[in-house]
This record gives sequence, structure tokens and C-alpha cells, in this order.
Amino acid sequence: MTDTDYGIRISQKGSDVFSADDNDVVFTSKFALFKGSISGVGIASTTTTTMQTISIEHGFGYIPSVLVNIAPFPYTYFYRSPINVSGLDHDYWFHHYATTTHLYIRFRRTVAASTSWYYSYFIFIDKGKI
Amino acid sequence: MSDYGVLVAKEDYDVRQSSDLALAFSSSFQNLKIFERYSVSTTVPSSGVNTITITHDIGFYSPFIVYNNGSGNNLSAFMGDLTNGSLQTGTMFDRCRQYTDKLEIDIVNGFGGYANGTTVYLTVYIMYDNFSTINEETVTEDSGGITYKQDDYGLRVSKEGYDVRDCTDDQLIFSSQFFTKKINQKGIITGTSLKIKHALYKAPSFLAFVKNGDHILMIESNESTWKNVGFDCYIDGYDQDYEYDPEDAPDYANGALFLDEVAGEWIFDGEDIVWNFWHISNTYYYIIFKDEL
Repeated sequence: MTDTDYGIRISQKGSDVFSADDNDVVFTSKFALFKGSISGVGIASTTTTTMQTISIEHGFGYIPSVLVNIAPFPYTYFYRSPINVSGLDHDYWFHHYATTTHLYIRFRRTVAASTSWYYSYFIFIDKGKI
Repeated sequence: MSDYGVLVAKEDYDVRQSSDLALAFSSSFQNLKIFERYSVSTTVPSSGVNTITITHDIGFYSPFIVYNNGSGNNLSAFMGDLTNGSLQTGTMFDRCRQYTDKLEIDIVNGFGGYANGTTVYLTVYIMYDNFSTINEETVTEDSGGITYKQDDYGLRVSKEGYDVRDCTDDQLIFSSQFFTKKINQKGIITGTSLKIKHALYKAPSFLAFVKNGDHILMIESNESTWKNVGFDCYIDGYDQDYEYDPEDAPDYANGALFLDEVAGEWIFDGEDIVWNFWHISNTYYYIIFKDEL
């Protein structure tokens, strides 16, 4: 990436758009913004240790960037997917991935127990595979 | 919000009356800027690690995101290892190391459940942000989960070298068709138990990193007794009837977000994030977005 003498630059109140550092401007055409297109929430249930898969169609035709957050019942805390299963005592297990057509969210518990899962997702225009 | 500046509303919203979240862009708020993106690959080693090094020379600690594209280069998994959960899973948590001039990613034996010698592909985003302090503490309203459709009006800005009239959405720097990750606040904090007031009255999304010597690494969700790098946080609600017990912290997770709960219902609201940190260092780099989880 090279500096150019043209483009768009927008500074925040109190900051000189001509001299502000790139870190301090709210927009510069030098850098793309992370752009989201689809967001949503849902609830799924599991009763056994079998992996449950939720699929969400996005229709982009390419593999997008995605972020997923999951809150097991009683929804008092969120995890950002994927969970890091390091250690010995993990029970909740989930991850997600996107293909050219769908976002897949997969979760299960390592012990059989009826569990509801609240999930939220962001699907971005920016590619998850370039 | 001041009475001048630049506002761009999403489709179907009146720019004069839109809440912060219904804006595709506002000059009142910082956004997550992409410094560069990279496509890299390596093979799964028969032992130890194969390290991918991306030299960016950005000059400061900056956020990063790594997508695992698998052995077929046909999917994207955020910081993910589809067999082991996280790219950083294992006793060596420090597998994605962001320095001021480079990012190092270790691919370990057994990564993704792939056989030794299998080529694995990754897509990496380096963000342009030095975690300089912003503390908006602005109350906003959520517009809910919405899917936006194509249209023939609005504001588009293309990347250098692309024709804004016919380039693809991915080749745009900005488009009023799409929401951006508007930053509510960010900064660098030091301590072991800190409260950050965000005043959003909901659970916001965030990215957080912790300093480890001469580099930073992403803080991830982790439900385990393993405590080398971790934090958890909760959000106070209106009624303050949920009190998180810090003694439980090691049983929960890096990045788990504790919320206020009202009997008989669940509401994701609140005005504070409280992080209880432990181990490796007490210096944390965070960005809290306006988006609700």
C-alpha cells in the first residue's frame, strides 16, 4: 500500500483532517472498512452429546468473513466462537465456519444434558478466503 | 453526536433520524480499518510447529484476525481449528503472535486433524488501529438483525485500482449498503480487575488482546481450568441483581461476557463491562464496538 495525494479523509471533531494521524481519522480511503451485510440471532437446543449443526444461507457465492457469539442457557454469559478447548474440564464445545453458500454453527456438550443455545452472527462482505 | 459532520444511513433509514446502529457511517465514530489482508499457507508438521511469518511493518501493536481456510481452501473459520476448536488450542496458547512489525502463526502437528504434510490455508486481516483511547460512552438504540439488499443508490468508495462503478462489493472500501464495525471505545488498560463503562445498555461485541512480552495475542473463549491467559467479563444491568463472583473466574472463559439476568427473562443490557484478568501480564488492548452481540 502506498500513500497517495488524493482520496477521502474524514477526521473527528477537534482533529485537523490534514494533519491527523491515520489512526485518529474516522475514515480514510487508504484503508477499507470492515463491512457487514447480514446479522442475526437464533436459539437452538441439544439434548445429547451429538454435534448439532445450524446452517444459515448467505448466497454470496464466495467465502465470507464471519463472527459468531454463543450464550448457553441461562444466557448470562457469551462466548465468542470458537471456544478454546484447552484444559481438562471443558464441557461446552462449539465452532463455526462459512462456505460459499452457508454459515455453519456447530455445538454440543461433552456430557448429555438438555441445553439451549442462543447464538448471534455477523456475516461480512469482506472475504474469509482471498 | 455533534450537529455537523458526515452521516450515511443504511437503506430504508432516514439519515436525519437514524440511531447510531442504523448508520452505515458516522464521522462521530471510529471504524475498524483494514491495513492489509494476506493469503498464506504451510504444511502440517510431523512434529513441533511450522511458523508462518507475515511482515507488515505497521509500527505498533494492532488488531488481527486469522481465518482458517482448511486443507481444501474452501471454508473460513474465525481463529478456528475445526477439530480442536481454536487455532490457539493446546498447551501452547501463544500461537498467533502480533509484534509491531510482523505476525507469526504456528501450525502444529495435528492441526485440524490433518495428516502430516497436508497443506493448510489461512486468510489474515491486519487492522490499522493502535488502540489509542476513545471513550464514547454513547447510548444507542439497536436496529435488530437485518439483511440488506442491493440497490442502485447510496455511497460507494472503491479501493485504489478498482472502478467504483463496476467493482465487486469486496473491492470497496466503503458502501452505504453495508454496516461497519463502529467503535464505541478502545484503549490500553493495565490492572487485574477493571471496570469499563460503555453505557450501551446491551452486550456489545469486542476484540481484546493481551500483551505477552514483546507481542500481543488474541484473548479467546475458554471454558477450562487452564489459566495462563484469560479474562472474563460481565455487564451490569439496570437492576444490579446479578453479582458475578470473581472466585469463579478460572472456571469460565477467556472472553466470556457475563450479563445481567432478570428472573424469568433474559435481557442483554447493561452499562459496564468488568474484566477480571489474570496471568501472563496485566496489559490489555481492547476495542468495544457499538454492535450488539
